[in-house]
Amino acid sequence: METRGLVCGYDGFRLEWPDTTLRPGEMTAVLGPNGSGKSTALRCLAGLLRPLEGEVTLLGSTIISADGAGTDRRSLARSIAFMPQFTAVVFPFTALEVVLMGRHPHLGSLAFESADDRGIARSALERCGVDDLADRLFETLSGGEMQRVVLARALAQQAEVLVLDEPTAALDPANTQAIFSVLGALADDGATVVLATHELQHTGLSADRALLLDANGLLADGPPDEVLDAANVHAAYGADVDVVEKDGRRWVVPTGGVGR
Amino acid sequence: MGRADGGRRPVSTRHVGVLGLLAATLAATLSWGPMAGPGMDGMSENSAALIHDLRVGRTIMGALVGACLAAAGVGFQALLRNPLASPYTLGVSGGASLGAVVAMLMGWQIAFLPGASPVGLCAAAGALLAVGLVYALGRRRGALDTVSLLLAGVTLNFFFGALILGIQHVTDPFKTAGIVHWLMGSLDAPAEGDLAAVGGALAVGLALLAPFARDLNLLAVGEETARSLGVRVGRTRTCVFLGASLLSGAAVAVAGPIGFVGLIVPHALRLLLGPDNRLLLPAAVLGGAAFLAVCDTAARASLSYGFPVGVVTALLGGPLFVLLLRLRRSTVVL
Repeated sequence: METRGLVCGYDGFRLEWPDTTLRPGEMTAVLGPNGSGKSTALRCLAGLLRPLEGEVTLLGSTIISADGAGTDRRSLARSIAFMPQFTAVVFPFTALEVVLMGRHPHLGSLAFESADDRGIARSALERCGVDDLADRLFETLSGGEMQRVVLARALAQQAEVLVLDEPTAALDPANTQAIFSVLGALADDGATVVLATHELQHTGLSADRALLLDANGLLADGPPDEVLDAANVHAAYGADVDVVEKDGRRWVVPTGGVGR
Repeated sequence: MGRADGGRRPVSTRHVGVLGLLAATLAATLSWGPMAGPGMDGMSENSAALIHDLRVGRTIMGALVGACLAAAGVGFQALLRNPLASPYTLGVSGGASLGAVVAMLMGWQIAFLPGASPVGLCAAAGALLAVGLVYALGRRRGALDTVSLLLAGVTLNFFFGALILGIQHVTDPFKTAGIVHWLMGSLDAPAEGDLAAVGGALAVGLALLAPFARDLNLLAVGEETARSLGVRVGRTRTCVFLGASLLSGAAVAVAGPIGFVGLIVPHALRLLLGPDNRLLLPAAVLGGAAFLAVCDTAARASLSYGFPVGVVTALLGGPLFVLLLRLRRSTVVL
């Protein structure tokens, strides 16, 4: 997936996105403080917000552009899956039914899901470690369970590209690890994964590339080890961290707001 | 929910059972309902046959109106992502009622169209006016917006309601009685063309709703998610809004605002069958038809002939719904 001259935004907000190539098998983390435009950029990449300028191409053909040309919702949904930060379901759907919704772009308008579709949904739930929740009502799940079910829905979509907006926001450490390890495995299987996140440590451990935004746009772009140094983190977030090396890995450790 | 079959299947024996029961109830009411009511002993054969025909027409009308209202309820509840929405939430009933009240106030008797009553025609015109206004006011950035739609509809309903109350206040009591009776909703004395008109509206309305049943499921998970899964949200909303409005407008035009059916039938069926609109829509057609036909038969058989069915739907449906809620309380979040 390639972006060319992409400018994302809406009335009163404008973010110039760097020309990038997002490759299969790569996990790209988009970092930056609240309000820096991560969500806006991801919505553009997922085709949910029309860019102000520029275009996105997939395997050479334009799928998203400022004038809306080339965008077909159904085929876009077969190529790009999007996972929002938070999901609220109004009516009492079960977790399995929510995952089966991922099959929507593959089905004819009056069709019901086939046994194949149900098998795909079941194995997506399994992959996310929540197959035992299949028959629970979605609204009765915990926040972490909900996010894992929603990730399973994105998997059931069987798209080459996964765009995730802060998938681990408000999750506990175990659920956060679970989500990152599923995403890592997906990238290993050849998926293109792009996510917005505040998990600097997980970015350092799992991502292949980090794009760090600040209030003025792109601040740094490169491998997480290069992007995530104390100076960049302070410049982007205004937060104080130390980056220490241990066991051949780099760890981002907060130093501000510590102790009393 | 402790299901023995290990999960909700798209179509299970439970669904078939509920749909079969509804169809049987509807068939039974249509075949035996017309016999209920004040006896026809001592009448000439011709009079008895005429009354029987009238009752058959009325029972079929009840079934059609009930089907329209319940299907419209399914559409509006999914469209507005609100289980408390009804066919009347978005101003259709207010507009239709205002049209009917104006026709009754003016005492219009001339049929503009053969086979249609002036009151029904004016009600249909009022419904159309309301739908047009709500549609125009409910748009934001070129597409229907749920919150704008809801605000526009609810506000217009209040506005039309105030106009109706104002008219009633200044009208002579004789006409007011007729207006009040119409506003209760009743199935007596349908005009000749009404059956065909409502039947046609039901067919067109369902044709507009049915192709979007799965899209409506996805809208329950959020507009953005639906869009990311390939739903053309704007087109879905427009078609569902127009289809559901047509269904409720036609029902109100011929029968007045019969309450409860469009709110409770979809709700009760959702409790029994789950929230999948692909099943809910046909179930609501059957369930609404059976429920209103039964209510009308009950009204005619046990009370006076002209007793408003709108009163019976709430009297009969209310306790039934509370019972359902109690039985499944643990699994239901309103």
